[in-house]
Amino acid sequence: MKPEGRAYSELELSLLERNSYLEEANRQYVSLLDTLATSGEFQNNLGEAGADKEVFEATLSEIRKVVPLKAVGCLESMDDGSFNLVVCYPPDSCAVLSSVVERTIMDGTFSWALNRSQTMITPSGNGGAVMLHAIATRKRIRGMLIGIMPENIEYLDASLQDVLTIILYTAAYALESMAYQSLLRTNLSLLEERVSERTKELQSAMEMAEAANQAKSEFLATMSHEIRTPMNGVIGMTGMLLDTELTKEQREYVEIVRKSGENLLGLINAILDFSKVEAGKLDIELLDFDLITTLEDTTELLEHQAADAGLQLKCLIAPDVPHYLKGDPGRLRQVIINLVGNAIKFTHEGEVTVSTSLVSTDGGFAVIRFEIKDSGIGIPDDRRAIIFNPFIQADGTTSRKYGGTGLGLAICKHLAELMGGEIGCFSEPGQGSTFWFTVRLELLTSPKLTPEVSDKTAAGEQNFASLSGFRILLAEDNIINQKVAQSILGKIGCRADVVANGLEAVRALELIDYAIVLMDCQMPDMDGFVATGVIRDPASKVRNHSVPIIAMTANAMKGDREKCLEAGMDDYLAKPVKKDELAKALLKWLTAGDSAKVPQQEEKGAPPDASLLFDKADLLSRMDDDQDFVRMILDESMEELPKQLAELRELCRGTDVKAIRSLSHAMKGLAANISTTALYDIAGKVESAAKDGVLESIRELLPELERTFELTIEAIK
Amino acid sequence: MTDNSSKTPTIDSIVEQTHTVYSLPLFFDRLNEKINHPRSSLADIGRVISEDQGLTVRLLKLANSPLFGYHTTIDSITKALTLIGTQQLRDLALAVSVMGSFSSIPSELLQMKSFWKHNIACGILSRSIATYRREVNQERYFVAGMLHDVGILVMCSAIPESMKEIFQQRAAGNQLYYASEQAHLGFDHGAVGSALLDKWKIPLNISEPIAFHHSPAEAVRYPLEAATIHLADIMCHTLGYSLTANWLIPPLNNTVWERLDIPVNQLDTIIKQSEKQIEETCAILSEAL
Repeated sequence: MKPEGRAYSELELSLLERNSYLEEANRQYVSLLDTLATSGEFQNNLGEAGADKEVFEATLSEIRKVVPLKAVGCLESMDDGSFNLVVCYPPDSCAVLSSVVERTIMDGTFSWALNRSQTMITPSGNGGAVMLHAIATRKRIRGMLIGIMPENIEYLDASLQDVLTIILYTAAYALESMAYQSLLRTNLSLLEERVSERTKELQSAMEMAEAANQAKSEFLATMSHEIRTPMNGVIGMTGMLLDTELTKEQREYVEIVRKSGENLLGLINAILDFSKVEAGKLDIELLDFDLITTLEDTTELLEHQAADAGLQLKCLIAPDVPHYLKGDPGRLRQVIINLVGNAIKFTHEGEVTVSTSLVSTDGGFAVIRFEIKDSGIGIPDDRRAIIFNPFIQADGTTSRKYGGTGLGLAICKHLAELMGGEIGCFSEPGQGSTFWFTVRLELLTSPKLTPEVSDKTAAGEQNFASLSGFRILLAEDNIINQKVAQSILGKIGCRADVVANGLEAVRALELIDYAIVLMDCQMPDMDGFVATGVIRDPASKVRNHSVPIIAMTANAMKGDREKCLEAGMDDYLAKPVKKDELAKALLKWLTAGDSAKVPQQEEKGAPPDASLLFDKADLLSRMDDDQDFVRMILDESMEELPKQLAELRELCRGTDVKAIRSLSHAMKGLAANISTTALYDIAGKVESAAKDGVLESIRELLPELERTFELTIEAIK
Repeated sequence: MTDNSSKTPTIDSIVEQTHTVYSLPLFFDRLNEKINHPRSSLADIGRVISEDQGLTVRLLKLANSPLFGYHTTIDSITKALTLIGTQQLRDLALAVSVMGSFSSIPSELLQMKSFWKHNIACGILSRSIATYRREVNQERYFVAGMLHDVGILVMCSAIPESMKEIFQQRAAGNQLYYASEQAHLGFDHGAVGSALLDKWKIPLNISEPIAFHHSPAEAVRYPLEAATIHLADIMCHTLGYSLTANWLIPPLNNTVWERLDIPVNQLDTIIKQSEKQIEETCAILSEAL
């Protein structure tokens, strides 16, 4: 308030002046503090900036809020030490600012300002004072702010200068963090590049290794074939040699040659199989088959081997193991034969047991477990884990003592896995080993297998004799199928030479006149169809172009037969091959064929049905034509048989399978005694059903048994 | 000056006794006011400084010394204000003025020349450390370093007998100087110096680091500044810029050393840069004594 009627004293004036200064200064501080407190938008813009330029733009607009400038711009510090004017305001001031920058660089103020983290304002004669402020963190200069002050203003008070410093410090750190981020991104992409490069290198290294392995497998396959062709020749010719007149000593030597040849061929086949495993070419066939029969056949095959080694081979099949399955019985046999073969090899005394059990059934599939237990030398702990690897044997030194390629278990493992199962073993050295494997196979609700009953009678045992002496060529690539076929042929008195593909078959036929060829359709290198074409081709070197060829094929489909016949084959057998079907086909083609190839034996022809029911001639000849004795036996039997039948009928109402088994066994023996083959067969069937413990099958067989019984009684009368 | 050391002296009693004797030149307040005034111009600020001819000459000498190393001559206060900065020049002016304010300490008690050499060296090393760390307003570090031992001057003036005892005891024993003060008085020269500066209304960013230059971990608002002065003080002693001979070198606080984050090999560069400046600055400022 102005004092009444007098002028201000000097003190009053100076206090008023001081008061107004303090008010003004206070207002300034409040407004600057407010600017800083509300710098959220600025911070946000810095945070969202995707490029340095955006940081500079945000900084420029923040500076303009605080300081009135005629023109302002930001220079960015470049890697080469130069500065680039990146943003200016107003936009048309770039040229002016550039010239000012030039000038300050020339007179040294620019570099001076760079090293002082503070506002520097240099007065100028015309066009306004120039403001410079470095944009720098503690570590690095990131740029420079340059401004042209309004006319007549050459000074900014201390607080304003400090606010400028704060804003530019913030901007510098935003730029630095962006630089680090981009460095991080660069490093990251560099790293990614390195990783992908290394991955590529590894990929190509892996491809090379795979190619090398593939080449090895192919080499093995080729070599095996190359070795096998002459081996076939050796074995075939040895067989022919054995048919000639030889002294006892010579025969012994030749037998050894043949046996050694067959062993060698077996080894080569294992290698070939393994190379197929490696090449992923080992496939599984899908056939309807009877597991129990397959198991029995297989163990039967191995019984000799076990007996030769002085061991007992036991086969235990749990009652709930299903009969009818869809799968590859050949491959299944291969695994069992391999494991049992090993067990026999490594057991010096005692027994080998093959146990089969059902693990589970679900969704139409059954998981079946096979265990092969021996009382052999066992496997040490540390070797057990690796014996399923190829070329590994439990003891490196055992291969000398026990032989073998070390491939068997590797192949078994692969096969078990192909069949949806696993393989493993447990063992204690000196206590024996147990190898087990599982397979998962589709269950068949009803057996689609052809009943063997009627066929069996069609080719009586005695007729097989007529087949002995024929030289048969078996072309089949699967080792186990080879063994099975050989075993069946052996049983019906034939001997077969085995080749593994069409090409080998053709070669063999160039060397030897075979009476008949059993030709698998699917074989590597040259399949059965092509091979048949070559054999039938008069231009080929095959000795007999019209040799009978019987196809064996897994594709039991309609049209297959036609396809085989079209290719020039004579007949057709569906796999798995059954003994009786094979015998029938052989009989048909060997006895009906060219007489030149038929050995000098009397042809008997198919026996009439009546002789099956009751073969009186056979009975008489067995009894040395003693008519009285025959009549006595028949009378006794006619008295005994109805009793047995009645008792059987009674037993079938109950559950005493054991009693049924022993009764049917007795009936079978009686029937055999009096040459009533049909009755013998049906009684045998009942016996084997009883052995399996399947009461239902027994009951199903009963009507047939009754009917056969009636017919037999009638025939005898 | 009467010695009141017979009564138990306190920080307050010592400052109360001396602040009237040692006063900040009056112009300093006016300079501060101009610098902070929104309507000031460079010319206004320049005029305030130019009133003190001696100060003006010394400031221009400093501006042209290796302390700044500007490439051409700075021949006017206005130019010095522009290039060095107003706040920075004010701080330099403060250091120069304070130095001139203490004069009448008997030389048998304290050698003023070596006292100021130690303090100027500490100021320059502090400033070099701040420069290396790209701190804003490095002149503040110079002032704080240069005035860090002002408390000793104040105490020599207020309680000369006690100080004599302390000095003698220190020379005989192997106790650290500031520990002797603590043992004798219950406080040290850092506390006294900062109390005087507070009385003079010198900003806290100068007085606090001075208070804690022997116990930097206790600094609350300006820990980095206190740490810088602490390190620079120790460097001075090791470089031979001691108050008197056989001065024991205070131990370096490890926490502080880690906070400053200076690579050891950089210390050599900092010392080399500073040594040239120390001699020249001492020569310029000693004229004020």
